[in-house]
Amino acid sequence: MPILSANGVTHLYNKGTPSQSKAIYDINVDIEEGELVGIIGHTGSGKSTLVQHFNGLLKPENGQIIVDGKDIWKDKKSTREARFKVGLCFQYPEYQLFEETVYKDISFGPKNMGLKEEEIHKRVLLAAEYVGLKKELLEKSPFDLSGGEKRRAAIAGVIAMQPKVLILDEPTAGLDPKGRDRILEMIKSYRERTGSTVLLVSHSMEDVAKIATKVLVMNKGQVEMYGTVDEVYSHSVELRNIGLNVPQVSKVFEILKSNGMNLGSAYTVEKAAEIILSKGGASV
Amino acid sequence: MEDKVIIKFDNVSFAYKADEGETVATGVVDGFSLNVPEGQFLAILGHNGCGKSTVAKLMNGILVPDSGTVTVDGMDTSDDEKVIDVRKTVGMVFQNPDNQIVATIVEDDVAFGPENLGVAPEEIRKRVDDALKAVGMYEFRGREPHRLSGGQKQRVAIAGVIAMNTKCVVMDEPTAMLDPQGRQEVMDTIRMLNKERGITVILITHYMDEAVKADRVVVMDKGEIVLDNEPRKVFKNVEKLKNLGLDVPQATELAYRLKQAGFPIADDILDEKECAAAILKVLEVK
Repeated sequence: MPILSANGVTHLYNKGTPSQSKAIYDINVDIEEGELVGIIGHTGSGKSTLVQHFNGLLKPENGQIIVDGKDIWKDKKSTREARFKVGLCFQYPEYQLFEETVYKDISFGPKNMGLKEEEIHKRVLLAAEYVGLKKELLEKSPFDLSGGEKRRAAIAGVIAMQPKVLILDEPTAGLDPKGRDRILEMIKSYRERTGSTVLLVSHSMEDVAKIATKVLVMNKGQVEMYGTVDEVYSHSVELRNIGLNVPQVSKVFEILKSNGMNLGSAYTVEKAAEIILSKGGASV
Repeated sequence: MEDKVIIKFDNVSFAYKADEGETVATGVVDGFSLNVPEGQFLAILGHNGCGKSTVAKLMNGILVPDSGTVTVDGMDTSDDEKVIDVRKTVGMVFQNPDNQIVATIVEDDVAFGPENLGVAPEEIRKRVDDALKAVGMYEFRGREPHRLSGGQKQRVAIAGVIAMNTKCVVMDEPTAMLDPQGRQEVMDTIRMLNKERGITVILITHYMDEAVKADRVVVMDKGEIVLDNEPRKVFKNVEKLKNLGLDVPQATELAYRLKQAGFPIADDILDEKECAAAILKVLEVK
């Protein structure tokens, strides 16, 4: 049974006004437990609208969102449950830090869940550890942290609710390469350690290729493709047509192929090097 | 003939004054010297906190040095009398498009700069139309900026700078918040400004594929310049760049890895075409 499903989900913006438009349309997708799904698509393709449906922030006009076997709009209780089962971390989450200390900020979610003080304490420490925040930072004001630390603190606040599904909307936007790699590493190890399902909204085809198990491509409010990294990235022409691009190493392999040297395909530098070296040259 | 220098940093030091209770201030520069020739497309790289945004802000007098001098087209930026002229010469475009749009109609936004400079209305009309055409946003002149995409908003911000007839544009991560298509639009605009209008461009970025297109790349660390050369010679230093927390283009990294493993390939590869050609050359002989 999938952990998360959208069945025929449609959402309208500005309903009932002259500017009414379909933000997403007839979305059908099943996400299996434990997957790390990269969600890609250009601006306005409906990525953010879709993920906001997954934890009940937006209500579909038509169709159902099923989380852990339950329709989240069946009754009030189901909706509330969905908000804890599916943790959503917005773009630039560091702008949402507000408490006096990092500790209080991370504990805000679990507190709202009505957990006991002891359990909250345990969760805050564990979440801080997952995101690589040192213990001594917990008593600092969130505003004294560096940009990368702030972002990790904000993500820890969502992780502390121990959601079954963690959704991150462009968690690496605006970071420098090192900050970006730390966040990607963190997401990967969080998933491996907890077995949780993670949805990663991203503009970077390179980042998605590095860590995702599945890729969901959105275009004009609909699901264009959904499959493994290999299945999706091999459609480079279709991806380009909808304003996306394949990683630079994949282009290298495409050029080789058009010159009569078919080495298969590679979407990360590691894989590309491995393939080329296996073809020879290494012994020279 | 030696190229005319438009921006000159001479032994510049600058530190942010720490607020009460704060300990460390990042983004400090110390004894920083740099000459930017007129018409150059210069990319500045470095991890967050290395001082590159400080350097950008020193370029048009938003910040002035604690010691040393920054000279813009012959004017000392510390000279209060020259501040308006300095800003007329060097325009700035920042990361977040939403923070730099001031008007409710695209063409009003572009007119804001020249209006403040006291340019005559008919001249403003001409400049605004010209600037919007240059960035490919003329047909959007009557639109509301908040309905535009991120890439379009940044192009409007760039048009605002062009309308001020600046000789030089400093852009601090102008594509960081954009999607790939928006990035492409902005990069095309930047290249056009530089190549067709001869505007000096200083681009601060974390995207190596953007830096590759510059005439010159300066890499900063801890407020100092650690590499300064044409892109091909800078990106050769894969190990050094990685140690600084930076990337190299994937094609460069692939060639580097192959070479490390004994594959006989050049170490100054910049893009996918060069990389594929070099690999073909080796494998076809086999």
